Amino acid sequence: MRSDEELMSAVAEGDLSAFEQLVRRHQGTAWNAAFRLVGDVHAAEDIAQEAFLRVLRAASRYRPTAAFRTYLYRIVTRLCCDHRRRIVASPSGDVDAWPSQAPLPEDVASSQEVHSSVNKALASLPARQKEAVILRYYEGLSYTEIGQVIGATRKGVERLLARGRAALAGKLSELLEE
Amino acid sequence: MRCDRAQILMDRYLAEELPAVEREDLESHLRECPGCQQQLAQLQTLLGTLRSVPAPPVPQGFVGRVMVMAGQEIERQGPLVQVRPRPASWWRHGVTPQQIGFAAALAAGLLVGVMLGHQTWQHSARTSTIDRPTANVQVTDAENVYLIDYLTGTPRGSFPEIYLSLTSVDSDQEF
Ligand SMILES: [Zn+2]
Repeated sequence: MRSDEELMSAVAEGDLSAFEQLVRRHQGTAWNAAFRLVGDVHAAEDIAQEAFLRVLRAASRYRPTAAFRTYLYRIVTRLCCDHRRRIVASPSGDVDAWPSQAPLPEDVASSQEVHSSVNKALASLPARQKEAVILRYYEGLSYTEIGQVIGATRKGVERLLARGRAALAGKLSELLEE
Repeated sequence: MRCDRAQILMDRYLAEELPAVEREDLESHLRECPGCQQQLAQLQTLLGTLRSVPAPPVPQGFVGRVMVMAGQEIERQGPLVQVRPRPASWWRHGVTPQQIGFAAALAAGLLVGVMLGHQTWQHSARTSTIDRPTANVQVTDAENVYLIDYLTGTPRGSFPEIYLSLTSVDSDQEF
């Protein structure tokens, strides 16, 4: 199996099948991160698609200074940030909305209340805390990797996570005490 | 170990990312500190609750849609392969048309200077810079900076070729 970096150099040579392999391999990464960050299936799909198109456009300039996955997270995170700004600017926007279209498994339908509380709490975090929390607890990135994605030092990431956890614990206190 | 430090380390402790020394320090603190034991339990509950919230699966047909858009993109923009590197990173930092115009005017002035026969330039040419207060850019590669592609097919010894050799230096800048 070719590595991400090998695929990227093939893409830079104009190999679209290498691009397709990259999309197939990393679609979950881009989709999950985008969905967690914006909380909307339609916006998440647009963002994940656009992220891959940016990978395609930038292939010839790509230098593997960090893992490809980190590079992809960086693109997704920036696109989500732009999306958030547009939402805030438009009065009809609703960042807190949990999408009704989201196909959730039946056995978790009873936990809908928990999910909704968690998503509201996440949505209320300041942008960088939210990015750090999502990359850490849903995407499983190390502090160093998070720092590479959001442009922060390791200490900075540690602080963002500590504040994010404290804020979440406060907002979810009722839920957590049960 | 102090409690605030212990609480900072708990996150990486649970993820099994702590180096052995720190892990042992934390564990010995936990054995003696009921407050931190409680904090650790609360952190586990919080992370468990966060992670219990699923994300919907990747929408069906996602890869196919991306590939269609990629095809359209290539139709619009031409092939992916770039014959020569694109301008250096400062290019992406928002250069205005006015700045490009200014640079072009300076370049034209320089070209005229060469054509007027300033032979004495040749020995110092490889480090030549242009004073551009608006963008503060060193001219490392005239071809890239000014996108003067049309000068590259010029005959040896022509003025354009001399101009390019004067203003170009090898550069390993990342594009
Ligand atoms: Zn303690």
